[in-house]
Amino acid sequence: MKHINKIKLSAFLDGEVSDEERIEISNHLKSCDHCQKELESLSHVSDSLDLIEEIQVPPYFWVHLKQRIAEQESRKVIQSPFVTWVRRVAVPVGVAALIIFSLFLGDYMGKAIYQSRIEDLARLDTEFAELLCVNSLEDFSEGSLNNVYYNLVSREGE
Amino acid sequence: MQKIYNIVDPDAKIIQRVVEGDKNAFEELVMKYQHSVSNIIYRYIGDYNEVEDIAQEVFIKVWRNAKSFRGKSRFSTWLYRIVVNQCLSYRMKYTEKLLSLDEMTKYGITPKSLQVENDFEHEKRTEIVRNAIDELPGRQRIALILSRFEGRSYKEIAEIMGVSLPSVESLIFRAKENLRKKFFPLRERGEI
Ligand SMILES: [Zn+2]
Repeated sequence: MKHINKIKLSAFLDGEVSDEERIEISNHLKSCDHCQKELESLSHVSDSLDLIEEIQVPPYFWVHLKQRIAEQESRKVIQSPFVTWVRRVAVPVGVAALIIFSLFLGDYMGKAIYQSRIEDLARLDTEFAELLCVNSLEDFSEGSLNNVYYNLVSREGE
Repeated sequence: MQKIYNIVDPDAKIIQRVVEGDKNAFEELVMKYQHSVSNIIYRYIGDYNEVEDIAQEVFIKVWRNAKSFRGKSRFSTWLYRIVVNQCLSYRMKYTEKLLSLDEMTKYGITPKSLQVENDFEHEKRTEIVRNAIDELPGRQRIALILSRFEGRSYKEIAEIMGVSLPSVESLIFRAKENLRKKFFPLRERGEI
């Protein structure tokens, strides 16, 4: 008799199989001690997790959050003609110059940086390497060119 | 403008108001999700003192980046993805390696956190489970937390984590399998 795949059994326990699979697995379990034991053992693990208690939201969460946002925004709002000039002219020109400069440098530096980055990554365990993949799916990853552009454009609108 | 592509998102209207800079709408959103966000972080990080700071960073990101949310997924999926990234990058910063639960079990040491004066069985067992979850690889831990504690479907977890459905099935199974291995010697000794 072919036993039920353990991954499927775990999904079955979480109610994450199709109706068809559910019937099939239920029928098999009726006549198979081995899979029955496996299911019990998995379900014991799941039950143990209930020991982890739920926490309440830290007190004054919203008040503190509001304060933090207000502080950050008040820092952003300080506007002088010089600051405006820096934002509207110097920053874009600077960024453009930087991009052109890095295009020249990129070929030389890029390979070196890429190489050391790869070596760094190799040292991290897979968990962290995988994290980078998750991060890249954010709408704008932090520090990306898109993000810089987005910030410039959104500042224009202020 | 937010476009919702074939997805019924209960938060579509409210997120639209947030995009327009409506702080009341943002407050509503925070009220709705603060409990869930705090609990995911707590279960992932395991340190109550860190929860507020990390949860606030999550919501600040939502406030600042609302404009870049394009409604291709549900708002909650986008939010949980930010939570996941925040949790994973927090752990990346603080990875000082302590003696693992396995090693403690092997050497017969009681973890410091278990040396409480009122050594209630319940507390002890909770600590054991807590430590075992802490030692799971990040992605297994996140998938398990979203499924077991937040009641997210495998499909939504796949979207949140940007992986396939079979990967989620496998991550959650591997998480349970790892916990089972850790619990086994303790179970033999009747400690759990
Ligand atoms: Zn069987």
